[in-house]
Formats: sequence, structure tokens, C-alpha cells
Amino acid sequence: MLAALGALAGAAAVLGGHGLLPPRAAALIAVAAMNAAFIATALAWAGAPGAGAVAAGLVLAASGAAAGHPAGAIAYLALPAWLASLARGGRLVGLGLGARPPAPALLAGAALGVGLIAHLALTVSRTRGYGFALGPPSVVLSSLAYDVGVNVPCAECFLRGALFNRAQRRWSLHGAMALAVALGLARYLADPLLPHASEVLAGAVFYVALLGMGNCWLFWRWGSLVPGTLSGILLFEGYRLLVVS
Amino acid sequence: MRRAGVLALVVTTLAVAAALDTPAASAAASRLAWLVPVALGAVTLGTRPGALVALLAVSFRAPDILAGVERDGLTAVTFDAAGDAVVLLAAAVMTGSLAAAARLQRRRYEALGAVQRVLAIEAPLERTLRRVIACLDWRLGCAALTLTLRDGDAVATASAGCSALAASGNRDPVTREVLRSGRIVYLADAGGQPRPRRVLGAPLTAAGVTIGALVAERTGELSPPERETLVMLAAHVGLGLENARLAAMNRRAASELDTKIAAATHRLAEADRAKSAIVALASHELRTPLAALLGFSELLATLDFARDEVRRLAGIVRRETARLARLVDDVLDLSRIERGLPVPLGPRRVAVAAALEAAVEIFAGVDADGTGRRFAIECEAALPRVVADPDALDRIVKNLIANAVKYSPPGSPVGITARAVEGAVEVTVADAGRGIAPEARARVFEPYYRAPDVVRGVPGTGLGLAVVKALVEAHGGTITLDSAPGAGTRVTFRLPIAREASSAAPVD
Ligand SMILES: Nc1ncnc2c1ncn2[C@@H]1O[C@H](COP(=O)(O)OP(=O)(O)OP(=O)(O)O)[C@@H](O)[C@H]1O
Ligand SMILES: [Mg+2]
Repeated sequence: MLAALGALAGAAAVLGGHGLLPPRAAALIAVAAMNAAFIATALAWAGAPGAGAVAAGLVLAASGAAAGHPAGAIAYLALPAWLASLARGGRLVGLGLGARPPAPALLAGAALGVGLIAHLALTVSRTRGYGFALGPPSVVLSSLAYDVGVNVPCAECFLRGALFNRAQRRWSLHGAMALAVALGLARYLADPLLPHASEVLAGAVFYVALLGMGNCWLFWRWGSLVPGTLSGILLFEGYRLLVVS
Repeated sequence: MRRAGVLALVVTTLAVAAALDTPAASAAASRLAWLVPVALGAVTLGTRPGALVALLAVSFRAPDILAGVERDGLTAVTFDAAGDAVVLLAAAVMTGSLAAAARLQRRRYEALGAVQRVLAIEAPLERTLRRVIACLDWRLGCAALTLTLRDGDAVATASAGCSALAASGNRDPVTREVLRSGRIVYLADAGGQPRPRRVLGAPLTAAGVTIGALVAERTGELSPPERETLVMLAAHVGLGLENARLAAMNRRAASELDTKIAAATHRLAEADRAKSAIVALASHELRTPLAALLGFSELLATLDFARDEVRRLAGIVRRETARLARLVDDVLDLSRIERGLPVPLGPRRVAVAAALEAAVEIFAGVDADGTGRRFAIECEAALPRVVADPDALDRIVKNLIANAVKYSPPGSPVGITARAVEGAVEVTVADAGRGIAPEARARVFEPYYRAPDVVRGVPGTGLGLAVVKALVEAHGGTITLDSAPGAGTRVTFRLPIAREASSAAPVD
């Protein structure tokens, strides 16, 4: 299945590159395939390959629905609902979605997210071309649904719950952290939807690295995926408000 | 100490941040200035907090750098700033790990000292193990700590904390593996927990042999230097426990030796005392018959007596001579027995009844009051002959009759019976005398032993029964004594009978 998803992403890139597919559509397909691959791998490693296939299908379907109609973005929320039901059934303990995390863990996650947003705000205030603004509600809501439903859960499940968790149980915290952060950086730098301005790339490297390190530490400290997901959602929502002024 | 470090760190960080927030601050100054809080954080708090301060420093400069990227694109200045970040992080990690190593080293020596103090206290093994565990537990900050010691087939264990290994399996597999292989075992994760549970098993060795295992579990990290510390502590504990064991063994052996030497010395002193008492006694016992012999033979030589009187005196001389001969024989036999030499025997086929009568004859009319003693000899008809040295048999019987006479009131009867029993002839000498107290009864066959109530009052050396027993046993026979205070004494011995066909022994 991973091969199929890889082929899909590759085909989208090639078709987009040759102008056979509108570039935005090709990028959307490639990103959807990557997210699907992440969640499928994470669930397979957690011992639920069947659920992985279902989750990948949900991601692809939701991406299709969202591309078709702005209101289709609501379908993104199917994945977290499905994951929550799996977690309640105790099938995602291997991903750090077992017991409810303690309050300090949630606080730490929120603090990390808010801290990063504050830093982002500080940085933005020093730039000339960027500012914060609330776009049209449909765009804001659909990107919120994407981040909450697919972007952050897929990345956290794979990078933290599956990859970092496995690595930290074989090596040490630092080795596992380096691996997960490097892969996280690669994932966002390869994201075709990210604007390719050099200051945006530098910012992405900086914030995604900090977020990755922080989330690895949160996962290591409490053994739960929830605080990292929280901080990720917070940072990405801050990022969505960023506009070129 | 730690709190002061945190305070100093916060103050320096704020000071540096404030100072660098002015436009006058040059890039080089900011680069150098941030090294101060980073190094301070690493030294006082360790690698991870140090790295966190470095990240803070990087974040502090990041807005300007990112704005610079927007303004000028990716320039040399930007890469220079990235280089700064790397330098700060490297400084934090290096300083932090040096500081952590130094701290670990100190903790290591403290733990060593504490273990040493615990091992110096002499206590039962289990308690020592528990104390070692208690003193290591809080120093190492482990989730669980188990100390196992093998002593032969027995295994003693002490543990603290809640072991994930022991909970998951019936017996901790790491301990088993360490005991089996004698190697260090490291598990990056024991499994079954939301956070990784690191496990290290280190062998306790003494003289190249694995005598136990120290297994530590920690949730989170167990860094290589910490693992080294555990291995070193385990080696030390092993050596210490072994030393304690050896020392305890030495002390036990020494005290055992002491008691043995004391007992031997006591026995020697007693034997010495007994010997001198015997020498005194024996000389007295020898003198009495000699005096009688001398006196009566002088009378016979110098005076004229009537025929009957001469016979009476000669009878006395004969009895005294016999007594002297018995005493000398006893002493000679006993000295052979004590040196472990066999008693020389010339076995023949002897008729017991005749031997008994001959022995009794000499005691007839020897009582203190001069009246004759009543001896009742009862022998079964057609008693088989026994294989015995006639002389030895004579001495056995005479000794027993002498005792019966000596330890019973004048005129009381002495019974001598002989009967055939399963392959032997059983002879019993019974009197109605004072008997023997139970505590003395067990010892009457010992050479030189005399019951306390007869030591003063009745002459004797305590050799008789010892010699009798040795002689009976030299014949392959057995002897028993049956007595109660005031109810008389029965001594019974058995001698094997001669087989008519096979025996080559001549008839006596
Ligand atoms: N028939 C007996 N009645 C009471 N006590 C006896 C009798 N036979 C032996 N004993 C006790 O046993 C002790 C040991 O007897 P044993 O014949 O060995 O020595 P002894 O009679 O004292 O001296 P020895 O026979 O050498 O002159 C005696 O001192 C006496 O106390
Ligand atoms: Mg005697």
C-alpha cells in the first residue's frame, strides 16, 4: 500500500511537472498521498495495518472532497474521529494514545505552542512584508480542519508515535530526537504547498525544528502523543493567520 | 546550590538579553555574550538545560536573522548566524557533559563510600543486601533496583522500587541472563510502558566467578557513563560481599578452633589429673597386698604354727598374691589397650562352668567380717564350650566377682549364672549391693572412672570394667550392665561358642 501511495505522489509530481495536471491539483494529490502514507505506516507499526488502510483511505477521500468543494473540508475531521474511536478501544497504546495525559503534560504542550506563536509574532513584527490577518471564514475554517484533521495528526502519529517512539526504545533520547526532527524538516521542506520564498523556508526550518524537538521531549517525558498534537495545532493555526501585507 | 545556579542563570540571561537589545551591540559581542549564560546553565544544571539555554539564545536572535533573510535573502550573514547557533549548542553540550561527568564522578565516589560503610557492618546476608540496596537506590535514582547473590545453590535477593521486568515475567530474565553468562546485559527498553524503561544488569564477581547480579531499571534515560557507574558499583559490591563472607568465615573458623583447643586442653588437664590420681591409687593398691604378703610370710618364717593355722595363713597369702597379679595384669592390659594394641590371646575351647567354679573358689570366705560369702553358681546342663583365652576368661570373671563382692554388704548373696543363647554363652554376675546411679552407669566402662560414691571408702583403681570390656570385645563378645541405686547390679557378658566341627582350637 505504501508503494501505491508513493507511486501516486510520484505520478502527481511528474504530471504536474509536465503541465498535464494543474500544479495546484498535483501538489494537493502529492501531499494527500504523503499524509496517507504517514498515517498508514504509523498505524501499521502500532499493530493495526487494517486500520492503517482505512485511515489512508479517509485521508485521500477527504482530500478529494475538500478539493471538490470548500465545505468538503469538513471530511478532514473523519480521521481524528476514527483515531479517537480506535484509541478509546485501546488499540493505539503503541502510538502513545493510551491513557489520558496528565494536566501538566497538556499545559506543557499548550505552552510550547503558544510560545512558538509568540515568537512567530515577534519575528513577523520585525519583517516588512508579513503580518497577521484573518482571511475569509471559509478559507480559515478549511485550513483549520486540514491541520486538526490531517496535517498534524498524520505528522505526529508517524514522526513521534511511530518513528521517535521506536527509535527511543532502541537508542537514546538524543539519537531518536535527531532522527525525528530531521525527517519532520524534510517532510515540510518537501511540501509543495509551502511558498518557496527563502525567508519562509528559513522560518519553516527554524519553527519546525523547535516544534519537533519540543514535541519529542513532550513525548519522551509523558509517553503521550496528545501534548505534541496540541502544540502542533496551535503553531500551525498561528502560521495560517500569516499573510503577505 | 542548584537554586542559586538557576537564579544566577536567569539574571545573566536577562542581563545579556537586555544588553544585546540595544542597536549598539555588535554581532560579535552578542555571539560572545550569549556564551556566558549558556556555559553557566550547562555547568550548574547539566547538558539538557544548557542546550535549552542555547536554544533560547538562538531564538532570541532568530527574529532579527529571519527579518534579515527577508531583506537580503540567504547571505553570508545568515549562515554566520546559523554557525553561531551551532557554536552555542556545541558549547552547551560540551560544557554540560563535562560538568555532568564531574558530578557523576562525585556521585560515584559517594555511592562507593556509602556501600563500603554498609559492607563494613557485620550482619546476616539478607540484611546486608537490603542495606546496600537502600543506600544505592536513592543515589542512583532508579525506578527499580534488584540485587541478587548466589551462595552455592541458595539465592538471596533484595530489591527496591517496582520492577517492570519482575512484573512482566515470572522471574526477572535479566538477572537470570547475567547469572548465567556473567556478562553485562543492557536492554534499551523493557517494554510494556508508555515511556522507555532502560534496564542494565551487571555481574557481581569475586575471584573471576559470577556470584550475583545488580539489575537497575530507569524510566527515561540511562546514559553510558551512568551504566559504567553501575557496572563499577556492582563489581565493588561483589568484592565487598565476598570479603565480608570470607571475614565472617575466618572469624567462625577461629572461634571454632578456640573452643576446640579449649576443650582439648581441658581434656588433657583432666587426663593428667586422673593419671596422677591413679598412680597414687595404684601404689596404694599395690602396697596393701605386698604388706600382707610380707607380714604373713614373715610370720610363717619366724614362728611355729599349728597345721591348720599355717593353711589359713597360706590361703591369705595366696589370695593377696592373686589380687596383686590381677592388678598388675589389669594395668598391663589397659596400657596396651590405650596404645591401641591388641590384647594377646591364646584362644582355646573352654568349658565355662569349670572356669566359673575355679574363679569363685578364691573368693570363698573373704568377707570383711571373716564369714564366708554365699556364691550361687547356676549353669545350664550341657553348656557348649566357648572359644576363649582361659586366662582372659578367668580375669573377666574374677573382676566381675570382685566388684560384686566389693560393692555389696558382707554376707549378701552373689549369683553367677551361665546359659546358652543364640550362638553364644551368656554369663551373668549379679549382686544385691548398692547399685550404680544412672549418671555413673554410662561411664563405668571408661578406664579410671569410679562412681563418686565409692571413690572414698572402697579401694579400687577404676580399671577393672574397662579391662573386662576390652577383653570381652577382643573375643568377639558383648557386655552390658544393668543396675539401679540400692537394687543391686547385674553384669552380663556373652562369648561366642566353639563350633565342634570347624574349630581348630585345642580343648583346655
Ligand atoms: N557390682 C557393682 N556394684 C556397684 N557398683 C559397681 C559394681 N561394679 C562396678 N561398679 C562401679 O563401677 C566402677 C568401675 O568399676 P571397675 O571395676 O572398673 O573399678 P573398681 O572396681 O573401682 O576398681 P578395680 O576393679 O580396678 O579395683 C566402680 O568404681 C563402681 O563405682
Ligand atoms: Mg573392680
